[in-house]
Amino acid sequence: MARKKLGDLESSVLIAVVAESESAFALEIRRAIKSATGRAVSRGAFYTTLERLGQKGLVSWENQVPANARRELAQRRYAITPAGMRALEDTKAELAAQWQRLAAATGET
Amino acid sequence: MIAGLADLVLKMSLPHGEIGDWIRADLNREAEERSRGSSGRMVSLWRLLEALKLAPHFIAHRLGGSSRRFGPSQPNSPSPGCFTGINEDVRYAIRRLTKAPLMTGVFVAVAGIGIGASTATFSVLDAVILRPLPYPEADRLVQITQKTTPAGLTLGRPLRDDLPINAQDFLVYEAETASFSNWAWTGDYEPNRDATVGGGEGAPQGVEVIQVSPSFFSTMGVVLPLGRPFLPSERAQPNTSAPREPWQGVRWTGVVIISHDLWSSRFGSDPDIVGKDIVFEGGPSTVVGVTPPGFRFPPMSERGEVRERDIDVFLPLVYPAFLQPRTFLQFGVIARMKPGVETEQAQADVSRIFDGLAAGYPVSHVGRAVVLTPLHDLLVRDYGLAFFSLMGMVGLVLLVACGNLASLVLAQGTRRRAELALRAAIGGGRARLFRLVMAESLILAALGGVLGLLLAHWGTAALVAMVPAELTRAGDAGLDGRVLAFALALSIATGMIFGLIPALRSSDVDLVQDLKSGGRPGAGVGWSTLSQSLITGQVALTLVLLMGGGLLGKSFLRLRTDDRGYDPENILTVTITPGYLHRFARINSFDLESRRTRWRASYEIMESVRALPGVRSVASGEVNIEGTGFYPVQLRHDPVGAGLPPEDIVNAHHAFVSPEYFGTMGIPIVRGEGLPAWNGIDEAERYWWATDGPDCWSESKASGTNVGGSENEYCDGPEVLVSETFAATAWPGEDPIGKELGVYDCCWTVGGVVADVDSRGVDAPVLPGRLGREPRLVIYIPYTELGPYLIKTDVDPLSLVAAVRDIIVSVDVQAAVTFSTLEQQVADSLARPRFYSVVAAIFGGVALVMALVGLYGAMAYAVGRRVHEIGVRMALGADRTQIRAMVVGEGMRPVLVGVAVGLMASVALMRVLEGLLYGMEALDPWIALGVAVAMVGVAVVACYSPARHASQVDPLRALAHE
Repeated sequence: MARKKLGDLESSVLIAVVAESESAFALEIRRAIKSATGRAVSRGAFYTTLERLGQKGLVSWENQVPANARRELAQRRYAITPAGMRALEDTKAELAAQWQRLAAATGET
Repeated sequence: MIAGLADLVLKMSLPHGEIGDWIRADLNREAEERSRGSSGRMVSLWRLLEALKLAPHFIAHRLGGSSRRFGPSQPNSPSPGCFTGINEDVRYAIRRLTKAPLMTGVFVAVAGIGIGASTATFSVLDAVILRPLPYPEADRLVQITQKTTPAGLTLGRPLRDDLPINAQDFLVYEAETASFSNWAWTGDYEPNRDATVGGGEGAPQGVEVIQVSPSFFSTMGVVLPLGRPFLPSERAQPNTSAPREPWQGVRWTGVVIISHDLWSSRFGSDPDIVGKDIVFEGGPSTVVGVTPPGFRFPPMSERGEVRERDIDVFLPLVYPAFLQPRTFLQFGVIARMKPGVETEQAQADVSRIFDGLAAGYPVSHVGRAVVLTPLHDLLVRDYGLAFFSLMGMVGLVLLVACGNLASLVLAQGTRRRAELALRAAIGGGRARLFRLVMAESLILAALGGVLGLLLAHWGTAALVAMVPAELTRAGDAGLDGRVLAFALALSIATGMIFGLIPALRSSDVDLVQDLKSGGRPGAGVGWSTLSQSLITGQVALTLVLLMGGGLLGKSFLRLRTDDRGYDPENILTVTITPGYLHRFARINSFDLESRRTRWRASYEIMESVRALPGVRSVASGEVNIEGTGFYPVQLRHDPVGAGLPPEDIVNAHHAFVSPEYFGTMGIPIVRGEGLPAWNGIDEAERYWWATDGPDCWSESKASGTNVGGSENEYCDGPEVLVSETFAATAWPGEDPIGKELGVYDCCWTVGGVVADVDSRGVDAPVLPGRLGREPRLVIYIPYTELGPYLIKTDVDPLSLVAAVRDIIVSVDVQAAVTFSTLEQQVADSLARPRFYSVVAAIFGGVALVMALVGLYGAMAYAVGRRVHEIGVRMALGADRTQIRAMVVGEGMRPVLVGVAVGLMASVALMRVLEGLLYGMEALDPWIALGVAVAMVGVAVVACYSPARHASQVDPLRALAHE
């Protein structure tokens, strides 16, 4: 099955979810992306992307209270699903293949 | 407020259900983290900004029906159906707007400023005037007063329509009218004097006191939450031991009703306060009731202005009908009309009674009539003109904003013609195109409305801070439901107004022409008549606003720089609300000995203050001449009290002053000598005795001769000074020195004439009218009774406050003392004109900036479109100066038309402001000229930059543009 390649932001979000593991709440994920890429993600785009990944079944979540937060601030803690992991791997493979084609075309090894 | 606004934005934009919840939770969590490092206000602001950034994103998603992409909570949302088009229009509009953030920002800012200014002004207007008064069925409450008719004018008496009612007359009104269900009457505890309250927490404090009849609270429709109203038996009793002024020396029945504020601030909201004694005027008084929270004494018209007072202590009113002659007007009257009775009907009812009284007692009713005014009308009458003028001005600002936005949308619309033509070509109907452009305007207006609310929140606070302090109800202004509804309606109207013209034009697409030109620069010819008319309109409206601001500003400056007839520099004013001494004199008894005690105390205070370093002179006396009251003075003696013909009565203010008053205030004595100095307390007492003691009146009572005649040996009353206008009115062409005046049963001799001073005084707010202030008739009488004191200093007046307070408290421990400087009081008295002129100037400035931005934008855009044409002109030999002149000339054409239209409109509109101007005409050619020149000058500047840009066009490049 030809899985559609993940978008840039989708990949960044998924990687951040994996990296943050136990504390993958929205706030932490956004911060992780910023520290990894050096760019702040627009809040609207970020929320939409998270929702979309959930809809595609690439992330799952449970409601929890983050450390240092008050009870009423309970929110989703995200985790990557096996499908999400696969999608990341596929995207990585596809990108690698493209880079290899570039290397071949420019004659680098 | 800001937090609430952010919540509102989030609620309106985020998807409902669980998705919205977790996004909100994420935002809140981040806000909480931020709140550890910065202030709550900053965090709220941050949250609002984030919400505003998020809103377009999610609104676009929601309206776009993109449930497929967003949110499992709506997996099977129904087909959008017939609203698809609108959804798409909105989505499209949002996308367009987010793509051009700068342009969108300008739009939202302009709309926001217009809506914000209007909303803020409306919220204050609403609180002060529009909202009904806070009493049950307040529209049935009326104040009943008397007015002077021209027939009844004696010398020096101005036309008034708020004279109090005589007590005997009141009883007749109450008994014989049929239109009213309740009657209440009120009386000043003592004009211009406060009282003190002690007990509870802290030092004795000055309080505002009023006397009310037992029926007062039931007439207002107010039920006391604690205790009860006064009983008829609790009214104060006349003091029969003081035959001379029995209505003043009332015997105190010792009960008070206190305000909710005083109860909570001073007595810690003691639930058992009823029945307890508090310290009032230095002695015990029993509290019988507490007013409900938020209860305010109703606005009442007296002495030419509507006063709204925060009363702290209510006393039962003396019932003096049998004491007062019918000529004595003392009581404020409030009545409640029966349900269904019209104001006219009630007016006819009281007029009928008045006519009967006038027929029975012609002497005491000549030249007067009875007037009935709904309480709410009092507010409108006093502040209506000012506030409706401000509202009108802010409406003009909003119109300028709409014009501005319309030209901007129009310019965009022109640029978009090709796009719209393409849409039309592939099947977009006129209605669709209209909707598309309209959606954009409405979204901008909505965003402007949100910004406007934020600005209004601050703007209202700023306006309330500027509003003259006597407008106590302005403090209630805030963004409540009414104001929010107003802002919403305004936003929609704004969007409609500025969106309509461009939308209509955009939908009117010429397919062939527009597709062919492809929206390239140079496609049109110059700028359209429509844009030019919009510029003309904006300039005209701005000019009207600037004229208004200029007139009010000039009037205010004139008031400020006007010579008041005295020198307020370096004068400390000290007002004493006596504690022990006051009660001693007024409440317990009214014998001359206790007044003498007070008088001697006052003299001692002045002596001690004079010895302080830095004090140049000390005087006792009111600055506020107008507030001293207004009494008839007889030019001839009237031994039997039968009444003198009008030409022998002069109405004058009585100012009680110490001899140093004139030197301290810098008021020149123009004829004769000043008042003889008081050398030592014993000599001074001789003067006091002559003024207030028994000698004067008993002597003159015994004698029955003519005061003004030559056999006046009985008159040993004191020497007084009169103002220039008094002398000129009473004895035109004669030497006033040595003339005698009869006042009640006493007599005075004129010893000199003093220059006129500003009649308004400094406590009374200045109510400018076109005629300015007329000098009043004043008699200066040598007398002092516990201030107010005026201390002329060589040092900063306020540096003496502590020392002066010590002196006063050493004489009367329970006195409450208030300090100010005369300069400050003068500035305060100008609060109303200052407020009007500052607000008008702000509105004028905002409109000016908007009009100029609009002009600049339109010009820059027009030049951009004509690059090709300009290139051709230059290629054909036009030089840069010619190009520049051409562009500026074309830009100035609509401006000049606008200036002309604005000037003509001003001629018509400025008459409205006449009642707010002081000593000047509403048509001031110099201001008109100045404003017009300024407008043209600034417009030239706005046009110059695009013109310069045009003149720097490279012909080769411009031609290649094609």
